[in-house]
Amino acid sequence: MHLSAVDWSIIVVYFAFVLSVGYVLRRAARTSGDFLLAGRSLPLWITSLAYISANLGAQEVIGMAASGAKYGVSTAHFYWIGAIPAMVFIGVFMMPFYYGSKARSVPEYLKLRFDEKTRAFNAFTFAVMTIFSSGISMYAMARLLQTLHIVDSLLLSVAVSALAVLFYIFTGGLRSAIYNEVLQFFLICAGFLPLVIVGLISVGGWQGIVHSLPPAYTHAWRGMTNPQQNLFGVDAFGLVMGLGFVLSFGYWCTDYLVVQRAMAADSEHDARLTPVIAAIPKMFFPFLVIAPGIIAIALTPGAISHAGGAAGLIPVQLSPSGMPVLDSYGHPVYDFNMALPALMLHYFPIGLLGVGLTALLASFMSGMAGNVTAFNSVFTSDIYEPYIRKGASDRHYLAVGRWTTVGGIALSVLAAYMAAQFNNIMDVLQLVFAFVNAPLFATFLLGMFWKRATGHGAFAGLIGGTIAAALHHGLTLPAGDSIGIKGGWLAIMHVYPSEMAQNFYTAIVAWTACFAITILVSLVTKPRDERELVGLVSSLTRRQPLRDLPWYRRPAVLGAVVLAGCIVLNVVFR
Amino acid sequence: MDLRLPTGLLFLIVGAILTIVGLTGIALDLWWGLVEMFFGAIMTLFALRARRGAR
Repeated sequence: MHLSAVDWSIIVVYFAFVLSVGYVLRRAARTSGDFLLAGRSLPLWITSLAYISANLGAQEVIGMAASGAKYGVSTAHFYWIGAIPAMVFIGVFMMPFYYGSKARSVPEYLKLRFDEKTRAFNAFTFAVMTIFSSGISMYAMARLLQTLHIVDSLLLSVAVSALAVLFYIFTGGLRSAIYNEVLQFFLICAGFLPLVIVGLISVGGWQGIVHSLPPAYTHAWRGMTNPQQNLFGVDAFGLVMGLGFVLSFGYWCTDYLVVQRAMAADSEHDARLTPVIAAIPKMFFPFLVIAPGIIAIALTPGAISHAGGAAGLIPVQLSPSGMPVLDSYGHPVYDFNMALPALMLHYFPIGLLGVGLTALLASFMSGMAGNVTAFNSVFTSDIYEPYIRKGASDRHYLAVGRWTTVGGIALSVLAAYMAAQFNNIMDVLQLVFAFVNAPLFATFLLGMFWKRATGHGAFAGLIGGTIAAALHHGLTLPAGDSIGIKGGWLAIMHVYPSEMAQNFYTAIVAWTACFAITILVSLVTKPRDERELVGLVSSLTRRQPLRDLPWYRRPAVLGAVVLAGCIVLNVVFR
Repeated sequence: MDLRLPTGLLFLIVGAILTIVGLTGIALDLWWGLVEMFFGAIMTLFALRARRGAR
């Protein structure tokens, strides 16, 4: 594909602005607190948009459109069940302890609440995980640009975006990353909104989609009582408990990448409101990122009827020899990751194509900056300071934070090349991280709401939960998959209808094991003095009175309104 | 720095590029260019008003 001068000029203008923001903000990062935490001084609207933008990486955007094409409206469960309730929960219940404890990071909260070993476990796994997430995202983006023949060199496409992210974080730290994330948020909306509008008009609106697709694609809840009757292959309990509780709360309530954005707010009250306000646009994101996939599948009849070869928008996957890839039933396998770019190429003229590609680049850069700033902060505050050099000057830690940006991006590039050459290794790593992450929410839940939970209990729970997740994975297999990375490597005790069902139940097992082990070990180990837990545990912390504030400034009331809106969306698209 | 200013200016410039291309006969560019310019103008106006208020 050949880009016109107009498209290139839009991309160049975007890069000029992103770099300028970093340059202008270089004076704002004078201390390590400024650099790593943005001085805890950002206004609410900025932290709220950054909260969702940091999560809006290229993988999310391309992946959600791909899932929209594969699973239809059910993909919205990743938002309406898999994000909104957790975002409300962290704002209403958990943020007072993150912000109020004065911890600089999520691992540091674990140190204050539990002990050093629990913090170290979280800090090291999180640091490695962010680098690999950033690397995988970098690789996915480079491959997309290469597939579209926009930039033929894998190295060049990765390097230009990575260098831009490096520049603006190195100069302005977290503040610069967050400001750019907000800018990128608007650009992502500006790039995808016209695609949805034009696409919907051309397929005859929502009614046109309903007429051209089977009901399973246009209903979020139809067939959810039986895994054989929905495209996810998941039952309602697995969906609500696995996705809606363990995975969703585990990510949105404990992952420092998103929590860091709220902690940059200028008051505890605004830190609480950040995720709740962020949940409002997030609730409508399926219309922006999933809808393109549904429109694309409506324009690819072969993918639904399995007729194969039918002229459609989503291309069939090709083997290295150029032959179509077929599944075990002999049906062609479609490259759903191409749904979004294919739709852009189909509808966007010169000019708007530049806006659309800018949106893709913006999403990649905001996701990467999110990972790199979280890595910066955790490496400096939770690895370097306690374990490598204690008691150095603030200037020293500021310099470490800055140069960790360079190290973090260099390691991400390395991870991207690993992903390119050893695809299986990345799958294994992602699986291991899923095992580590799934039990984490049980640790935080007990830590914040049960004063009897001890450090030994938390640590044993995390290790036990991770082992339980690995065991469950080793003893089960999704239908149609072969033994190995997909599971069953110990023995096959149960076959799940789909990979997603196996993932959700692995998370449920891990969470339950962590929850139970933490309680049991806590009960037989010595509790901490209650005076040391003030500000860290709910029952020992005095709440700020909020009765005088208007309803929209009260996190609980606003959260209830957001949840009601979410229920309405579920009912409308049931 | 008031983030509304760079956001507004970016959308004004990109919107202007799209509008100019749209005037050559590409309706989609013209409409979306005007929408982006409108959004950019609002953001810029808010930023300038806040700056005047601060003085």
